Amino acid sequence: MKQRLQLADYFKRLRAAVRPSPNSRYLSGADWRWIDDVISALRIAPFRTPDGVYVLLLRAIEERERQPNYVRLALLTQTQTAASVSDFVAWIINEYGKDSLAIVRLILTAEMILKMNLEGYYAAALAERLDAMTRTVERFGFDAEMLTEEQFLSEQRTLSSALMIMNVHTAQFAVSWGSIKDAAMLAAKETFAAFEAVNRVFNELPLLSHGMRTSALTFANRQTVIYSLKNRDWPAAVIVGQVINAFLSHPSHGIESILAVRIRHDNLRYEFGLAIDGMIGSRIAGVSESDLRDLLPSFEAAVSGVISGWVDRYMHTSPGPERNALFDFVPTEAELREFVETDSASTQLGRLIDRVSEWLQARLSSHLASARRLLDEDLKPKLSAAIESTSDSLQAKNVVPYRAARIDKIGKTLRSVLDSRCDALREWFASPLSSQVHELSFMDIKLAVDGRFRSEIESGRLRIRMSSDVPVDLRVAADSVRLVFDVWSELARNAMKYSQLSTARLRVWRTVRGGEWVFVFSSLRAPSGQIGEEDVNGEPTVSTSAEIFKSGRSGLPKVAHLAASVTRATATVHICKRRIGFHVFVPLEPATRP
Amino acid sequence: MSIEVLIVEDKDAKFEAISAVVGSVAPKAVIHRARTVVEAERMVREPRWKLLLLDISMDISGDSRGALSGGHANLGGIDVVETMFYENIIIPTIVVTGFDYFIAAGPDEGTEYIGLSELEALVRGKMPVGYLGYVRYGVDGWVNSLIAACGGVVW
Repeated sequence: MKQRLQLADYFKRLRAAVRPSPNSRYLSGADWRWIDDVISALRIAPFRTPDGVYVLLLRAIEERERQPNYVRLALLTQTQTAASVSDFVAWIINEYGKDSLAIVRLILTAEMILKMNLEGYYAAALAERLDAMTRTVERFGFDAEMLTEEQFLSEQRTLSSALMIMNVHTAQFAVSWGSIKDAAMLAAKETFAAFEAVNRVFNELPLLSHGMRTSALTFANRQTVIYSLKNRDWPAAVIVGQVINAFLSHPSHGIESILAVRIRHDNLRYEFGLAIDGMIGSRIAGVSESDLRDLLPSFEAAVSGVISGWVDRYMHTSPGPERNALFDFVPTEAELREFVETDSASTQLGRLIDRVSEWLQARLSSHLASARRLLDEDLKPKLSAAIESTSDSLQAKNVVPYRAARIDKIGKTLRSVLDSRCDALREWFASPLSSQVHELSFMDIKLAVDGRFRSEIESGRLRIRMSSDVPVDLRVAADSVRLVFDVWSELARNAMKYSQLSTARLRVWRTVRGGEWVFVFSSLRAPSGQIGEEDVNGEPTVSTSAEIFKSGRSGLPKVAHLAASVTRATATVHICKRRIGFHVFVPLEPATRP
Repeated sequence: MSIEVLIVEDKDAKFEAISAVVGSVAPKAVIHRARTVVEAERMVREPRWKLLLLDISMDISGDSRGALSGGHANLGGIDVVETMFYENIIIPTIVVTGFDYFIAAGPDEGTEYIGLSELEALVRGKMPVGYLGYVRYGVDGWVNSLIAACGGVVW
């Protein structure tokens, strides 16, 4: 007990003395080795107080740990009792005041929200994270140490990118190049400052600056390559390496993340498995379902081995034993020299990052073309060979002639099923057009909102339908994606709150009102509400973040302000309350182009 | 008293293969399954397991819609190991993984690669008691490796 009181006192003093500073990472002076000893001896229990959580947060910041489980586990009582993310954020704000800016930013990531079991769906968790950040900024403003406006806007872009990539693309290699460039800029800023300083000195000492130096660059995929470059070009080469590393290792948009999560994690085999499962219920002349159930597993095992082998062989960024990594993004010396010699005199970091990024995009397109070719020229024949050899070995074991014929039929059918699945999977390796990641269709936004309210939709509390009169090619510009998503989400929430029906039905359609196209969000309501019409005006704001904060927290004023931000003019949201219908007319058109 | 075994595994085929091996070693074992990080963390808190077989890459929650839509934890098994460490939960544990290396959150915004030996060091560090070893699923001899690792369990 005495020990716990002493710990509690230490935590309290540390909290009173040190502010979280994730942007500068000032050292707190805390003895983290001692804290580790405490954890080793007593585990997380003594930290399950607001002061204890705070101390662990400081540790995570100083140790540069992302998504630290120890903080999540120290918060277990609060997360288990909170009814929602919003509830939990209210507790954080109440307990930690302005420090909530750092806590929410560092701890409430989408993944942590899922792990805390405060949300079930990733899209919802992403939206909740941004809502939580918005609430804390609304309350405390930005802070140079904890959360700047630039960082907040970057989070907003991340959400938009994630929504796009989650919902739009069957192409698995859709990359948000904006996010990659942001990460590269962050990583290369300090190197570039050094480069500028060194460059000035070198320009005065040409003998030194033109001397050649051979040195190694180690990339984020652990590949090390030796290059020979002029002394003066090395800082630029390091920056090129940092941009490539950002692309290799970005947690959401990096190529390794894409390969590991979307391709290597059994997904390709799963897709083929679905095709094989589909055969069981299908009819093959002369083959009974019991034959299929009996024989298909042998084929599936063989096919599965081929697919795993193909993935293991090609779907990597770095070569290894028996591995022919297809996604090679490490430049040759000639390629690196071209970057640095062109740009060594340049003082534009942004330009160098753009050039490397363009090179990466071109290289990705070329690798994807190779992957599509390998699907046709390598995987297909290997699958056929595996099917044939399985067929032969099954026939050898089943000497009864009618049985052998059935095995043959199953093998041939499976071969065509898998051939067509290979063709379909070419889409996964399609080169995403760069324009696709700059804007979304309204259907994409609808899918994102569906994801946001997935649990409500699955439990039957909400149904969202978009009318076919919304043109399929109507797009939302990237900088308006979150605003339109928020408008839609707010009106879905409204529909659930006020419909008084067991299922709130929201229909979204488009019409002309006052000579302008407007979107109409119509919901049914119990026939008891007040009848009438009203207008709510919203004004555009000067900065993107102000759009969110000025809009207020909820309701139709928020919708009006968001709409004004989308249209970049005063926006009038017209509300029409009928006996059983509630219609909200929202101008969203300047964000779109027909 | 029944012998209860928890297998944390999202893939059906792998779960069935591992279950078959456990069944051959401990025919009386009652096998339970967790498919996600959230499920696994909840279940390891139940004080009844004789053995835990732990996958590493899995979805965070049952609703997070799989690897293609976000919400996937490359090192979800490590989340479970850390929960056990911080909450002082001791269960004899074997890691069974289908991958040779993993990408994990590195410092700041980057990621880093973790090979099987580093993964094992990570698990050993957080599991001073109870860790029985790892098995690379799917390679030649994995069944025998798993049987050997199960030898460390007092049934």
